[in-house]
Amino acid sequence: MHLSWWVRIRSIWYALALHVIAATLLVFSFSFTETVKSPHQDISIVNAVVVDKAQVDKELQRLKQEEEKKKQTEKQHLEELQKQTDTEKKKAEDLKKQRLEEEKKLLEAKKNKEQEQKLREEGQKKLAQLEKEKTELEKQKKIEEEKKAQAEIEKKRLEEEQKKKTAELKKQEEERKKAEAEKALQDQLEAEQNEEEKRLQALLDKRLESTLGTEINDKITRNFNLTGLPTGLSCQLRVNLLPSGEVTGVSVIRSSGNEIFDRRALTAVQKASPLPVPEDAATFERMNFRNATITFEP
Amino acid sequence: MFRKNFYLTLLLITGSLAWFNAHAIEIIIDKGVEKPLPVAIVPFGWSQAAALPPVDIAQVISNDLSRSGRFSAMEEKDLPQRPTDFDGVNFRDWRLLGMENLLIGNLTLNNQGDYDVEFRLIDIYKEKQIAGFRIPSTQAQLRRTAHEISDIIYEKLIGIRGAFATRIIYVTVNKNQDGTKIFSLQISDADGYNPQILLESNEPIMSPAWSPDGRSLAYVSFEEKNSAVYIQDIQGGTRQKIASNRGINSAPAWSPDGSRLALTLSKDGNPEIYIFHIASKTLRRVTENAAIDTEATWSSDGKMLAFTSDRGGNPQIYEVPVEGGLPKRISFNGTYNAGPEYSPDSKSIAVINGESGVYRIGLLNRATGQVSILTDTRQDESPSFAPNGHMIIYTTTGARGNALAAISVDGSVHQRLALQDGEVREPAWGPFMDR
Repeated sequence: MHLSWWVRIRSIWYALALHVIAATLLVFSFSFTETVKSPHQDISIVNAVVVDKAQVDKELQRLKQEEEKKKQTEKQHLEELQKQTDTEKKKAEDLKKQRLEEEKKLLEAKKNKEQEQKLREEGQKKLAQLEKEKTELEKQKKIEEEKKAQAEIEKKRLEEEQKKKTAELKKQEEERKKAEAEKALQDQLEAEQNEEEKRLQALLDKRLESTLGTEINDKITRNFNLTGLPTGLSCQLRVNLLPSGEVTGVSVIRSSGNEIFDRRALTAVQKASPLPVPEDAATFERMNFRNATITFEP
Repeated sequence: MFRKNFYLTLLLITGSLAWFNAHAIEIIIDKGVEKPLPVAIVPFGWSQAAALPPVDIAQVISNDLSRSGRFSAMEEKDLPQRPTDFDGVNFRDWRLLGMENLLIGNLTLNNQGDYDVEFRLIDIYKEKQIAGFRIPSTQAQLRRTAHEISDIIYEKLIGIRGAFATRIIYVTVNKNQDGTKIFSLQISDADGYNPQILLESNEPIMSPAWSPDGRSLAYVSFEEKNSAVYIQDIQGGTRQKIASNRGINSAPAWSPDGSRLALTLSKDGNPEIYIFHIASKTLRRVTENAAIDTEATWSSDGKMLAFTSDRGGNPQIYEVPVEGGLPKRISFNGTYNAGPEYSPDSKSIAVINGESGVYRIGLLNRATGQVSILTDTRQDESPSFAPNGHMIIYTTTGARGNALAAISVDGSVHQRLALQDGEVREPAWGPFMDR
């Protein structure tokens, strides 16, 4: 149950995570597209100024004096020209530089575009992969769900069985309790009914004990031979009896200190076997005749 | 937790025990019976099956025990089996007959030509051996060995040393063919067997008395016409006349320490009690009275003398301290009480009690002064205690005059010891003897 729950939660989580990744990728690719600018189409080349040297020479000749002056001017002009050329040159260089930068920019843009393309492709690839994984997962999920369903069925079956068992036990327990209650009731009733009888029984038992006690006393006394023994001795014996009255065991629980006296007492009990006991075994047991204590104190 | 449970269990156990005790059947036996103990003496096994054994040991023991009055020995013909070893005993059979004790044994001839007497005393109900010994004996000792076995049985089953392996002395009177009397001082085993004559005389021999060590006798002999008191060594036969005064010299009684004899002498007028010191041969008078004082006997502690005196008109028993003092009458039952002898514990005194011409043996209780009569014959005389105090030997009138008889002090058993021809007088039971 926990396992299947866990599987379900996990697959949901995976699905969610994949969607998030896919969405993020899409958003990113859109913004890339927007930031890319189309390349410049209106770039123009500036023509440079060319000066004729023969004319210059002639001029120089004629203007030799002047030239000096002019030279000066020329020089000045040259310088200016140089200057201008330098400026032009610089301008051209700047332009070139600008163009190069633009080309570079263009190249970068291209490169970026390619990169984008690549990224897009990769994204798509990834997406496809994800799609595939998703499918795989879904397949897995399906299998798991099937398994889960199977487990669910098994679980349900077990639960059903358990339920049945519990019910059975409960039923049994109830029946037992019922029987007990009935028995207790019965017992109580019997106890109540028998209370009077028991009182009577106790009286009868007492009378029987007295009668049997006298009979036992007589029988043992007849066999208790005191010949030659000193007076004032006393001992106590434990006697084991069978319902037949037969003595199965007898032992000294308190000695007189005189070994012969004890032995005479032991012999007396054994010679008196079988001893008078209640006729029925139940009374015998109830009155605890099985173990008797006999004190000898002549 | 365990401990707690343990204590709880203990409590439950003791609780149930208490309940058990409260409900167990309890019987109190406040009296018993006094009757002979049943005992079976099985004939001893004998190694020389071809010949008869020299002594029927079982028979000697049976007779001893029966004579004591404390036992009833099963007759040989009634024995259900004759085992000679413990494993051969069928306890069930014996119990069915109510037999309580069994003696089995074997007699074997040993390498020295003597005998080994081996025996076991068995408690039938416990199925246990109570005693078992082997006693080597010469042929001459076999009867004594049998008596010693009787002593052991007596001690194990009654609780007091038996007095079977002891001896008695007595005087017999027989008539010669010419009609004259012949008096014999004899010694025999306590059962009357093995009699030996210590002294013979045509004149009366009277009042034999044992020395406490059992080696010597004192007696009165009229062999010199007048009475004289002699001491005689039993083994060697040597003797010594210690009193031969004018008039009566009689009734010697040894003091418990053996140093003195109480005597009755009339040398100073009428019969009086004197104490003779054997070593110094000195006399001391104890009584002084116009009446007859005689038959002195020593209490076991040696402090008192009891004697017969007719100072009150009839013979009665009086006591006087050995050191002297005023005699005190102690017998009051009947018109005649004489011939006192202290029991070994001195709690009672055996007497001849006479009433209307009938003389019987009685026991005078010193504490109560009451006399209980033990015998029911007519002419009983000369009571003498066995050294264990359980029996009294005496003479009674038989077909041919006085005969020896024995009675248990509880009066339950009388037995004639009709061994001797002729008349037997004045028996005296000897002390315990070590082998």
